[in-house]
Amino acid sequence: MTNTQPCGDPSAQHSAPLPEVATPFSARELGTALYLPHRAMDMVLTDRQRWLATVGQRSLVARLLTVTLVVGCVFSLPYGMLLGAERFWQVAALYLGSVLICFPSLHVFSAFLGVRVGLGQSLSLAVLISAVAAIFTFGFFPIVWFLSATMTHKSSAGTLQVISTVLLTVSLGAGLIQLGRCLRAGTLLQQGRTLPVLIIFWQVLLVFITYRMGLHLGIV
Amino acid sequence: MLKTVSVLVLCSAVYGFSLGLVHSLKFALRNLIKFPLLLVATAVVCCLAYHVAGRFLTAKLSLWDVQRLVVESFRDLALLLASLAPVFLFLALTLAPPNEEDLGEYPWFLGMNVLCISVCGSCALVRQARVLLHRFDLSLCRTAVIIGAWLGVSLLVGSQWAWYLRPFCGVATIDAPFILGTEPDYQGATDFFQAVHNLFDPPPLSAGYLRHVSGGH
Repeated sequence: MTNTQPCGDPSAQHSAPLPEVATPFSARELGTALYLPHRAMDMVLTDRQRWLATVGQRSLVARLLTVTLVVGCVFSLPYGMLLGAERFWQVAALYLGSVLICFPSLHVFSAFLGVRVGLGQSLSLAVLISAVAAIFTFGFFPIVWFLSATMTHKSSAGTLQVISTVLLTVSLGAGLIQLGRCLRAGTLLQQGRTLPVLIIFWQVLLVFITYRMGLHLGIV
Repeated sequence: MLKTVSVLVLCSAVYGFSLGLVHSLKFALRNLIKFPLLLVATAVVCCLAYHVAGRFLTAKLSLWDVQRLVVESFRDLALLLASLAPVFLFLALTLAPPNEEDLGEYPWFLGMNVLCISVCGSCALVRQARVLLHRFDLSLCRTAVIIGAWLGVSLLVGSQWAWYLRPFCGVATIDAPFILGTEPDYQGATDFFQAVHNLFDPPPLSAGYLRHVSGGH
């Protein structure tokens, strides 16, 4: 749940609704999320404002980054196992690998355009996409398993591949939407018109690289 | 929750029985297992996806809320269909049976079932949407997206599962095993999605099929 607290001039309470500032996750909460999957899922999916507030705290960014990376890796493993025991890492590589390949361009271009964001902070924002996508693949893995168990005929292999590709695309789309929602909830996008344009172009690049990665790994 | 699941299983079994009776008592008895299995397995397989989609779209729905809402909507569907069971039972026992000339009133019976399943499914969804709107105070747009996501996931799994478990009913003169699974249909489709594709781009019928229709060997 979003934990927010009002701020601003108390005398203005009756004239206009107060803006709300989310409380960053505590170090303890971030530590707990590493062994409680549902907490980690809520941090990444639901507590957007708190997540963003934590990105703003340089002292907590490393922990947040760890949680996000672990979520991105662990939650994609079940879907990866469906591809084959020796290919369990490929879904994580699909999303996380693509994000890490594209991340330097995001950071350098945003610095070039004058956006004041630290390396850890922009990396946290970028890997959020892979974490959300991984959680969605976790939601989809029973479905893909079930379909593959009921579509065992050789001629169904192509159909199953198409369904899997669609579900992986939906997962990536959810990650991109989540990044957009986080950016809208914070103040980053208010730093000028160039950043939203940059983010859009970067997301297009990320989608393209993810597609190429999928082809390379034989997933799509 | 246990009561809701019990009602779901019982009602879906009742409806399945009335549907299967159009073929034979054997098919009706099989449906006592197959129809509840269709709904329950669909809900179980999709539960993680329901939860992830729900949490992504709103913070107000907990895992327990999502499972309860989904089971309740499947229960509603089963309950609505069960209320129509006497109608289909009557129709199954009185329709003009297929003969050597044509299929009689069987296609009409089948169409009516599809229509009723759609109507009952829509009613269950509308009720679920009202619960989301009022109990959880979600906006209309968000409710529509959540319901749409849950419906899409359910249809993806449920349609293939129904295909795998077929036949639920059929022409009485043709017998079939308990489930046909991945056995190709008359157009060669081995899964639901191929069958849908074949509706729009039908493949040529095999020579074996034509011989079968004309009664040759």
